[in-house]
Amino acid sequence: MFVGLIALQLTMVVRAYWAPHMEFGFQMFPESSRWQADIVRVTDDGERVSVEEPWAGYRWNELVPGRGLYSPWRYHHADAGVDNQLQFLREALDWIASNTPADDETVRFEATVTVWPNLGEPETVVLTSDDRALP
Amino acid sequence: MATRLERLDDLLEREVGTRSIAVVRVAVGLVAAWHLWPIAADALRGDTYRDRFHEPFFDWWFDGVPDLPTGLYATVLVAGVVAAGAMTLGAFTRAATVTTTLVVGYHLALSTTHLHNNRAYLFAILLGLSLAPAGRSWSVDRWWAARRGDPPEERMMGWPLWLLRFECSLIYAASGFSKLVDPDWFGGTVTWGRIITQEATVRASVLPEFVVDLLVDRSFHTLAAKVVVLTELFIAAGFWWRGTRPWAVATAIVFHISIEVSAQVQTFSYLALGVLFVWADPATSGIRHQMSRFRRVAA
Repeated sequence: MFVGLIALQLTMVVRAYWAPHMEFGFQMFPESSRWQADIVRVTDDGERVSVEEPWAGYRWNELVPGRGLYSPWRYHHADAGVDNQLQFLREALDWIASNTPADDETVRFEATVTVWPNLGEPETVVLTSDDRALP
Repeated sequence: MATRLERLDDLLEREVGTRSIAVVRVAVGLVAAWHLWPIAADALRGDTYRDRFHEPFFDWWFDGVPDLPTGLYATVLVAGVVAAGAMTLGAFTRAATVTTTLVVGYHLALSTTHLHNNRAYLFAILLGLSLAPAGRSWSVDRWWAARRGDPPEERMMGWPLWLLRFECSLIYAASGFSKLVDPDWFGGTVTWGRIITQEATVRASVLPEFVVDLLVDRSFHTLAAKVVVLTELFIAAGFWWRGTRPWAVATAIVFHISIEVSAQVQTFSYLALGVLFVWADPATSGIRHQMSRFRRVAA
């Protein structure tokens, strides 16, 4: 058991160099990168509406209050790294798409993310949720 | 002649005292209760992870982790808090430690959003403690056994303690190595970036102006980042040699106090400081060794 647990922990440390969430990798304060995202709902008539505005009784900050995703339209420090942050944002878009049943007009969510990796030149990434089936 | 493997076997099976692990048990029990209580309190109000964004680690794994009804989920978390309290006191220690480990692990396993470095470290240390007879010293169990007239049994096989020592050393090694191989970190860009993006806050702090000027100076971070990385690596390696162990422990204490003052890291500083007691017995003998050497030199 002693050797097995040590081997498992070492495996997780090595795996963290590829896994976005770096579980049990103990990479503390890995980056000073910053990010900001403009997130819109794409409705069935093609309109693009910012999620800063509440919709169908939902608010972004109530649905996604944690993991650095609160008010994503503001500048944030990617405290566990950009890859980790983008992965959480991608997962959050899918989660919201699947867990807002009262919304009968949004087809999908799109995030245009600007990333400043360790004070470097800004990079833009576009993330899209899965399409929703509307009633 | 004993092979290295046999010598390692001897080391792991050698009996060690249980007092240092008892101190770790008390500290980690308190941290576990501190960690679980706010989550349990939210659940008692009907506020759970299901109400907001969460993400299973893997679908097949999530299916294997029971998604409990709110009432039962809250009960499990409250049981975890009670178990952490019992673990701290050393009452039914093994059962309490295993229960605390399972509850902390269950909560982590429910969603990637629950996992932070401090929680991962808490779970790893709880797992190590649950494999050890951590209630043989400074515990209600020990007091109760003494009342019954049972002889004190403040010894245990060494391997759980070595497992905890490995984990304690590993977090500094993993953190330090990840920074060492990252040119942005080792070159100072990361620490400088954190400061200059918060320059207004730093200037509004109690720090004297010349200190702030130094902190926002890029060239300062070229050196400071290397000091941070080498400090973490020194702590990780320094634990393993008797001569450097007291210095590694002392450096780790200063390191965690400075992190706690300058950053919000939840329970991490307190947990890390508590876990340093896994080195208590050898650290004490290391200090004695150093002191006797100083005395010899002085004489």
